[in-house]
Amino acid sequence: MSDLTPETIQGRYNGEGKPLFWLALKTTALTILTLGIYRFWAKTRIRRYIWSATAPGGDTFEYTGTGVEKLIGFLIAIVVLAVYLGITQVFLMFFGFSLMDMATGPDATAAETLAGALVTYITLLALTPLIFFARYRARRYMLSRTRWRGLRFAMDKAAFQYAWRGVLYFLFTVISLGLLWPLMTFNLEKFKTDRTWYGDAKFEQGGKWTMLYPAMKHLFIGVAIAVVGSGIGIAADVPVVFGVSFFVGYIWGAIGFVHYRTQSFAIMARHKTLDGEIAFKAAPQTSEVVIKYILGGLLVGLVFAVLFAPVVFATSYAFSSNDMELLIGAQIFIILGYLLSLILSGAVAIAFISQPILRHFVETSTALNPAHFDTIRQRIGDDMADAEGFADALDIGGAF
Amino acid sequence: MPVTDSPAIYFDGHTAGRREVLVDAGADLHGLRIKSVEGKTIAVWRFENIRLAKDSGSRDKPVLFRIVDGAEERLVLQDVEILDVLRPLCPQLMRTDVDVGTYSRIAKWGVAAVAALGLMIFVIIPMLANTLAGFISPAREAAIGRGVINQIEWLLNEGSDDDWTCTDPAGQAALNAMMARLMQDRKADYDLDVRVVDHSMVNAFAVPGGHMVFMHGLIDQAETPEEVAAVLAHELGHVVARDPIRMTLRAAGTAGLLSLAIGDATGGTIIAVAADQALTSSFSREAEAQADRFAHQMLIDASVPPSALSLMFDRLRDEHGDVEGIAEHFASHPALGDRIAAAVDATPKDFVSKPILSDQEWADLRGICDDN
Ligand SMILES: [Zn+2]
Repeated sequence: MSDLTPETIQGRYNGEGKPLFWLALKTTALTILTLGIYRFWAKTRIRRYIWSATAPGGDTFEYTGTGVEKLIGFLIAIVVLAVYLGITQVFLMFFGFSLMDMATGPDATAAETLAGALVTYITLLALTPLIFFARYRARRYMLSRTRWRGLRFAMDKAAFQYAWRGVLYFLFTVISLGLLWPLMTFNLEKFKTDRTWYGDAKFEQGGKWTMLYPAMKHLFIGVAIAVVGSGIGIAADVPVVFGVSFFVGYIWGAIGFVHYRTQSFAIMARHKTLDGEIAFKAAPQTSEVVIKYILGGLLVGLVFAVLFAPVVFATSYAFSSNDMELLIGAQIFIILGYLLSLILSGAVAIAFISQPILRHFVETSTALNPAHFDTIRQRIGDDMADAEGFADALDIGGAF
Repeated sequence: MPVTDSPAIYFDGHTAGRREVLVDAGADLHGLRIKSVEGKTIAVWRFENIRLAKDSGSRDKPVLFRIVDGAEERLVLQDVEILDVLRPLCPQLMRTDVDVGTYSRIAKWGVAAVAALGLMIFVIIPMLANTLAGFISPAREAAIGRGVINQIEWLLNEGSDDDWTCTDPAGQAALNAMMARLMQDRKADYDLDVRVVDHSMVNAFAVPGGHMVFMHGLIDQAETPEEVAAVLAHELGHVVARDPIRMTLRAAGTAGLLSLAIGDATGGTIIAVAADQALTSSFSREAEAQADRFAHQMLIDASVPPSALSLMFDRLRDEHGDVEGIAEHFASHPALGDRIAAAVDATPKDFVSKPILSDQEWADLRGICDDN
């Protein structure tokens, strides 16, 4: 058989816009009709589609997660989170209040206002480590429910270690005004990759964090244009210079952000190995990703316009007529329009923004030395009763 | 119509090796036979065990697997039409298999989730809040209260820089005289501070640290100084019981707990916010009744008829309906009808009242915001 095995296997994506759009539309509608309960099944079904559409070398991935286990995981997470959040928030508030003791002297009121604002964001403070924790567990769950060529993926248990590292790198990034972002991106990804398995074969992340700096180039340029340009504009008192350079810098920076996300992923993928034998290539184009964002965004805008033109028209008519019954009718119409646009825009975004971008990433990825796959063996399953309940309860998670 | 030698890809579930195979299926076989290209049988899958992977994103590659303990193989059909043959043969092809005990697990964890939320919100967090409130010194609490007032000012005064506290000295003196009459020789843990702010809302509230804020709208609506005094007595009741700080700690603990359970991207957030609000007001109902009782006694001691409190509420009800339209503080109060009845009940038979402010003082108080 091995003489038939090619030198490389190329990523392939078989999904199409229309079937995914209908699937997303149907499952989102069911989610709304069931007051949100169906969302676990909705997410599961979308993933089944996406996974089975992704086919490196023609062999599809398979998603084996279920809606039921996600629901149970969610309930388990509620129990844990209710206790954790309730207690931490009361204590954080209490210690936040204690900070106010430092507020003495002439600046007292300013400091008090600051402390007051700080107290407002207490939930956020309690949530930050949880978000990293939940993300790690969600990824572990997803990998444990992923198969390719019949073999399971898996990730080691390490959500707590990941959470405090995540908070630490996040603080570094914020304190360094983003300059240390690559440190966070690389180390967190390495932490996860080095604990990821395919069958009995382990992934490994090579390279150094500094190799991600070239990917930040356009982000730096965007910020430089915005800061320097608007600085000159203010100094010279020419509002046009200020406005134009701020706008150009903002757009450049936004694209630079996409560039960083795309290229840092690619650079790290090129430095990953599986079982020390299988290497990867990844060559996604930032321009392709940006174009797909823009085209998909225009489509979402179009759907909104078509949907909302009659809503706006009918509502303004009802308001101008001052007729009570018409006004109530208009309100119902607005709510229905809102729900419909939620359903539609979500489905359009998945099928015509997220999916094309994923397709681009998949189709520009390659695995080298695939003959080695034949030697990789199955591993036992990872039960994970809480599934990705934490991520679901906290409402975090990617497009899929 | 039976199938013979249909091409497929077979993954044995033990290694990632990929194997090209041939498949036979027919009613007489009782199962799907998987053969090597040379014709040697690799496995036979009984029809009733066979399942098709659903929601496939690769329409031309249907994936079959079987529900047998320990079986991890996958079979990818290369010819989609075979599915039409398999459908009548495999009655459970599209079945979703649910493990035994799944429903009782859902029920068990559902109950646990509701119980955990209830226990935290109604027992543990209030207990914790009351205990921790005891560790906050009056001086610190006063500082906290100033922070809260700043924030409320920023919110309600639309971020305007103008000082919204009304400063007319004669008006403030009248207000202080009213408070002194009410307090008599009662002691509070803090230096009491009552102020009027220039806002048309009909509302008054106590914040941590002995601060009380009257919105000018309330003084405008009152017909006698006794009605204002009644509301002040009620707020003093909150202050003496340290309600504001306990409520603040409590609210911090319960913040977002409900949105965990209800909130998701599709409109659930709105329900969660409403539920949060309902929760806060149910908390304070007990504290409100307590403050009312305190106020009744305080008013009687100061020779002000407790019915003043009910008159004020009556007027609020005429103006605003029972709850609707009155700012959040009053919205969280017990149903107005009950409070009016309680106020009338509290008045002793042989009660002799004395005016709380002179006509001049009352005029000064009404004009406290004239300079703003
Ligand atoms: Zn009250």
